[in-house]
Amino acid sequence: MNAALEVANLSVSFLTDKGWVQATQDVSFSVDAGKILGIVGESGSGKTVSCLAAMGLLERESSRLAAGGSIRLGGHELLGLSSREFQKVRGDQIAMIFQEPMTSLNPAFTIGNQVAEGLRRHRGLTRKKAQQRTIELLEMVGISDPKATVYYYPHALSGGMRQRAMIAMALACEPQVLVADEPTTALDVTVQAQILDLIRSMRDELGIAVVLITHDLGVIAEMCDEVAVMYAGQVVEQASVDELFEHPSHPYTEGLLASMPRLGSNRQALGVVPGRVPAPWAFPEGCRFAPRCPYRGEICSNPPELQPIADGHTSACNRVAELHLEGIR
Amino acid sequence: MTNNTAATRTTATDGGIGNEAEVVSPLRTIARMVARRLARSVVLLFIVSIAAFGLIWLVPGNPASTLAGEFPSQEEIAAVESALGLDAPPHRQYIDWLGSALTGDLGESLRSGRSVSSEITARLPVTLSITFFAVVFALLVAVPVGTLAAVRRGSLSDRLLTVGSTLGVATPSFFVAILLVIFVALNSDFFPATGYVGPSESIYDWVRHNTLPGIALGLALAAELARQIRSALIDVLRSDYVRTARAKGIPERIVLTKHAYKNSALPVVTILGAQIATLVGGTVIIESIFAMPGIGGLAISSVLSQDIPVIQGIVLVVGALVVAVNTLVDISYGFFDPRTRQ
Repeated sequence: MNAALEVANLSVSFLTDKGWVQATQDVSFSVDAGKILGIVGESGSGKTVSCLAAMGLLERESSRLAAGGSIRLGGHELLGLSSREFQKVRGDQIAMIFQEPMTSLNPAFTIGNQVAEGLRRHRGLTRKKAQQRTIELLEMVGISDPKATVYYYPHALSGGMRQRAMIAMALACEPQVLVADEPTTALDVTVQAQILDLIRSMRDELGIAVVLITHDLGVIAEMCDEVAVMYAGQVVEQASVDELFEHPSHPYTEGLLASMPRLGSNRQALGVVPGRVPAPWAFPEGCRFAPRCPYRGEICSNPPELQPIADGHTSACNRVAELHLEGIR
Repeated sequence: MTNNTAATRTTATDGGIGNEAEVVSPLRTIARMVARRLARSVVLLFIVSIAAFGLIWLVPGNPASTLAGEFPSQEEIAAVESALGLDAPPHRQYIDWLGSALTGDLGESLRSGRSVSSEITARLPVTLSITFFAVVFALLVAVPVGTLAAVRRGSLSDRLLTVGSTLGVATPSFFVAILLVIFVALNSDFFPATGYVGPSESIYDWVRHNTLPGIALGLALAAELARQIRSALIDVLRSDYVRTARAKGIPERIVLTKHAYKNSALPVVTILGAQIATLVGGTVIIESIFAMPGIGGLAISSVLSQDIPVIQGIVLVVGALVVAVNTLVDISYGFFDPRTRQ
C-alpha cells in the first residue's frame, strides 16, 4: 500500500538578499493513512518550509525545489503539476491548518462562507448544499451552535473556536492528508488539549493521515505514531515515538528530550541545547549540529548521512555507534 | 480511504436549514450601525449650518450698505437692514434662516433677487457631474494600476507606478486641464473644450462634456488611490488568511478579487471620503477653465459681490454634501470590515 503522503529528497532554496540560499536539504518523510507523523525541531529548522513545499504554497518567483525531489500524495506525484492542477489537489486531497487561528481566517467573510468556499470549488456544491454540509462540519469539530456560527464573522469567536473552524474548513473535502503547522502554539493550555483531542478523533473517524509540526515534544509523545526530528534544514533522526523517546540516536534529539519538563523528574534544572540554529546561509560544513554538539569529534567535519540503525529507525550522526545517549522511559 | 463518516454522523441535525431567524441578528446589527452614523451626521449638519450662517459676521463690510446704493444715508441703510431682517438679534436671525432652510428656502440673492435654492439647484448638477467623473476616472485608473503594482511588486510596472503617481499628485489640476484642452479638446471633435450638457438631455453629450474635466480633476486622486491600493494590497497579500485561501485551493484571481480586495478597501474608501471636499473645491478652477456653469462660478461671483445669502446657501449645501459622502464612507466600513459594526 502506498503511503498517504510521501516526501522524498525535498531541497528548497529561497531567493534572498544573499542570493539563492538552500533552506532544506534532502528532506524525506512519509505518513500512512490513519497515522500521525510528528515533525519536531527548533524555529528555523525547515519544518514549515518542507510542509509548505508539499502543499505547493511556496511563492514560485522567490523559491525553487531542487531536481530529484518528489512529493507523492496517495501514490500520485505532485511535483511538476502546473499551478492550476496543484490548486485542484490543494484543499481537496491535502489540507493545512496554521499556527495563528486569530489571523488565519479572513475577517471580512463569515465562517460559513469560508468553510463552504472549498466545498463549492472542489465539490461543485450549490450554495444551499454547501451551507448544509458546513453546518455538519462545524458540528463535527465541536462548535456548539453551528447553525448560528455560519453567520458569525471570525472576530466573534475565541481562538479555540477559530481553530476548530479552521479544522472544519481543512476537512471539508475529506482530504487524505491534513498538515497541521503548530496548531496549538497560539492557544491557551486547556484549549490546546481540546484541539489535539479533536485532531486525534478526526484521524480516528476519518482515517486521514496527519503531519503535525511542533516544537513541543510533549505534544509529540501524546499524539504521534512516528517522529522526524529536523535540524538546520535536514532530517537528523526518524523513528517511532516509543523508540525515539527510549533510544534517541542523535545528540540533538537527546538535547531536545533533556530540555523537556517532566513531572517526577529529580533534575534541578532543565537541559539546554547551547547556541541556536544557524541561518541557512551560515550552515556549517560537515555535520550541521557539530558546533552545538557535546559529543563532536574529528569525524564530524564529514557530512553525515541518514542511516538506518534499527528497524524503522534512522539517524544522521557520524558517531551514533559509539554514543550511548540518554532517553526517557 | 476517507469515507462518509463525517457526512453520516450528523444527519440528525438536518432540517431547519436556511432558517431565516438567524439572518435577522446580523441585519439588526447593521441597521443599528446605520442609525448611529445617521444620527452623528445630523449633529454634523447642525454644526455646518451654524458655520454657514456665522459667515455673515466674518465678512467685512455690511451687505445692507452695499445694497442701499451709492453714498447711502444712515436711514437708507437702516431701512434695508430692517427689510432683510438684519436688525433682529443674531440667534433670532439664525433660527429664522434655519427654519426656512429646512423647508428648502435659502432666501433671495441680494444681487439678482432670485431664490438662492433655485440658483444652486440649477448649478449643482454641473459640479456633481464633474466630481462624479473625477471619482470614476480615479477608480478606473487606480484599481488596475495599484493591483498590478502590488502583484508584481519590485517589477518595472511597480516602479513606473511610483514615479507616475508622484508626478500625478504633484501636478496641479488646472495645468492638467489646460494641457487637456490644448492637446485633446482642440484636436478632437469628440471632447468639447467648453460647456455642459445634463444627463437628462443626452447621456452621450453628458459624457462628452464631462470626461476631460473629470480627468483633470481626478488625476491627483487617481495617483493617490493607486499608491494606497498598492500598499494595502501588498499587506493583505502577505496575510495569513490569504495563505489560508490559497491552501484551500482557491485560484489566485479569486484570492485577489474576493479575499484581498475586500480587506484592502478600507484605506481606499477613507482616502476617497477625505478627498471629496478637496475635489468639490477643485471644481471651482476646473469649471472656469472648461466654462461650465457650476457652483464654483456662483461661489466666486457671490463672494466678490458680498451676496451673503448665496454664500451661506453654497456653504450649507456643499457642507451637507461632504457630510453625506463621509456618512456613506462610514457605513461602508461596516460592509468591508464587520468588526466595525459593533
